Amino acid sequence: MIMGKLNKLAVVAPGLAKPGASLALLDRFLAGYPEDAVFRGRAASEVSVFCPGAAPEALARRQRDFGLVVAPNDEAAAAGADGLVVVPAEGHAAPAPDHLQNVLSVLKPGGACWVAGLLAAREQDAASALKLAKSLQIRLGASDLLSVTFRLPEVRRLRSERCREALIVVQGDDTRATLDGLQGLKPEAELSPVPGRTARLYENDMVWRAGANGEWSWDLLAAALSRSNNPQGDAVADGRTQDLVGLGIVQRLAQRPRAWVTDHVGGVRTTILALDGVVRDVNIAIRDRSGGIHSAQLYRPPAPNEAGYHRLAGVVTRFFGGEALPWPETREIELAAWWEALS
Amino acid sequence: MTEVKARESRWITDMNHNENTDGTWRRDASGGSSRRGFLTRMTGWTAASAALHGHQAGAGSPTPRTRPKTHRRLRVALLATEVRRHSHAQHFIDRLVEGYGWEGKHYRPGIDLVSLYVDQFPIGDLARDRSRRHGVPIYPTVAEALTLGGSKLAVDGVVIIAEHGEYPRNEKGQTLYPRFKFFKETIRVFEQSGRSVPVFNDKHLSTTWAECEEMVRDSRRLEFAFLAGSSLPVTWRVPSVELPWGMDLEESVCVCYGGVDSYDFHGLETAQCMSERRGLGETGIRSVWALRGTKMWDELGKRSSTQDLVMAALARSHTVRPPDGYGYLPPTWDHLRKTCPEAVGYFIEHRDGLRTSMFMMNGLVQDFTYAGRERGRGTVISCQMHLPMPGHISTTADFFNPLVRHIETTVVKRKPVYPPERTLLTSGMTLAAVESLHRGQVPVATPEMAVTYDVGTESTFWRA
Repeated sequence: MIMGKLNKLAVVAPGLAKPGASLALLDRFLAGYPEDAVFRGRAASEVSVFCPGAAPEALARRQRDFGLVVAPNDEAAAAGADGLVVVPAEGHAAPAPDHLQNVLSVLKPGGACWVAGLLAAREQDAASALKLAKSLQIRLGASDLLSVTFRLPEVRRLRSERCREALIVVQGDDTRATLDGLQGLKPEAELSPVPGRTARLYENDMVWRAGANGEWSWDLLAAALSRSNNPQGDAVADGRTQDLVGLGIVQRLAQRPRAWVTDHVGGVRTTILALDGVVRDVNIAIRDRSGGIHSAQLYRPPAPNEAGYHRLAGVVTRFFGGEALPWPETREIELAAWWEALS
Repeated sequence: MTEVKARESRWITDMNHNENTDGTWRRDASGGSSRRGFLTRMTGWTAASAALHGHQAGAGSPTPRTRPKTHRRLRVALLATEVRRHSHAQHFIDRLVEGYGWEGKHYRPGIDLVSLYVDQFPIGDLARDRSRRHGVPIYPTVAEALTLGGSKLAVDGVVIIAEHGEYPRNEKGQTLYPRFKFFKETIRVFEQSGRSVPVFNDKHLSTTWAECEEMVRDSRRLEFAFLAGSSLPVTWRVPSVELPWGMDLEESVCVCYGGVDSYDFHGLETAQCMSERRGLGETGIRSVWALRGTKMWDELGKRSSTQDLVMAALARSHTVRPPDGYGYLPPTWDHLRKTCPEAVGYFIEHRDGLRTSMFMMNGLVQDFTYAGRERGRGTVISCQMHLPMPGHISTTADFFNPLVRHIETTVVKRKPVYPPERTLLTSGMTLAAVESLHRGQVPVATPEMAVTYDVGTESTFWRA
């Protein structure tokens, strides 16, 4: 652990949303967080923020309690920082390319930047950002909570086992659902969409027809939903457990279902299945090359603690301190390409 | 009787082999005799206790009685105090009849729920709905539920869920749930029928030590598998860790929330399912001291090693209440005292010197976390026993899934997944803590709790 070696960390965010990455990471940088059952202290001597949408009292409290430096603009916040976190605007998966370029340009050589979301919404922009960062001698990483949060059970990632097919159950509007889907699926394998091909989007009844036609797998959906502890419908009414797939309940409960099916290089197929009204948690199932199915809930502990951010704060702080990314550097370009294919 | 001799003979044979279940040999931390060898001597030393609490039915013990060869599905009766949304009985019944998520599938149990006895029908009752929906009759008495209205025992297992419902409290504040009553009525049917079947008892055994002992003694006398306790030992752990079997454990701490004679039992089971894996197995409880509020904080203030473990446990919590205006801040002692001034702590001395402390920090946390320290090295093992609680972060209380699975295993194999001595001791610790508070927060000596038991190397918590 490299705590104490950093002089300045900065957060640039449109607001201090609660729950959300901006506040969660800022407070952990200011006051510390537990990691491996030990409380890590403050991450840097100075923590600076530019957050135009934050409530003044929230910033004032942190100035008083922890000496937070409130900067007048993002360049001032980032200037001279060893590490900078950039949080995309509400409703966006990635920061605007010119905004990211601006803040990268004021970081000192040897510094690092972390985007709490996707690095870019287009493959070309992601590649440009990485190229710029490299020319400025700045290390660049990105991910939101779902890539690193707890798994129930703690299933092994499947990079080495070679994923054949994967499905993730998410909720929310298209941006939220696809961002969660990508962040959840990406660690499972080296997933790049087939170049030049867009993902197929199915909506409403077409989702079920696509499943019946083998576009996505009901087996994987059943495995994923078996990991949910937040089924809706009768479970809300009286607490009962149900075989959501086997009893045909999924179709009845789903509100505006959507399925994004992507074919990847190497023959892997992934499905992001937005099932609002069916469950209220994120669950994943993967079929490996030998036909075995692995499944887990990507568990996001509740507000106010949002304890999953302990893990993201650890990854980010170690990265700022010089450790390598926990995944290949090409990940951000692949994710941007995938995002583009979904759009 | 032949079967009894067979079990004793097999057990003695096992006791004479200092061998682990994996076939390897191991020695205790002192470099002396094996864990089982030590327990052999303990059994002689506490002969009277061993007759009652002996290790014969421990999870690792042999089971001479095998299930009669049959192709029919095994049938269980469930005895409940009340069945309503999110009552324990609702969780158990629904998992038995609807199934539950298990190892990546929706699993339907291989046993059938065939009868119910329900003691109370409150507003919002679900017992009649479930009975009608699944064709499981509700019988007017325990005996009829077990005999399916006939004259002899007609089920292969009994599930007692006597938690929740309107029952009186005694002068100590204990809720007098009819667990012992249900159990003894079950025993009566066993005796009248000339045979017994496995029994599961949810949560602690009863409200007096004598009754708790009698329940375990009955299970020995009538030779049936007896499984009991809380879902805490078997639920998810975050991270998914187990206390290394045979570790020389110095101290165990659980930080949790809830009330006396209620969630305290869950906290004690949280600690005990880890502590029992230590070097020599469980050796019994010497004393229990329960303190509340300022007295508790003052006593904890004198115990620096316990304080360290409290913080290690809190580092695994996902629900530490932050100061106003924050989402999360690492807890400080000042914040702890201000947030839960009326916290309750149980300080427990085991007969071999292990210390267990359990803290109900209401207002600070809403989860169950554990930390234990290895003697000498100081290694700390810690985790959260994860309860996705309905109304908070879930709708279905899936921490009951592994418990229902263990009930099925116990019924099918006629062997408890873990020994009832665990629950006997955690029940006893709960009773002694209630007594300690009732007497004015004084230490209570517990010579009656010289209960020894051992568990196998295998883990029984949910991890797949």
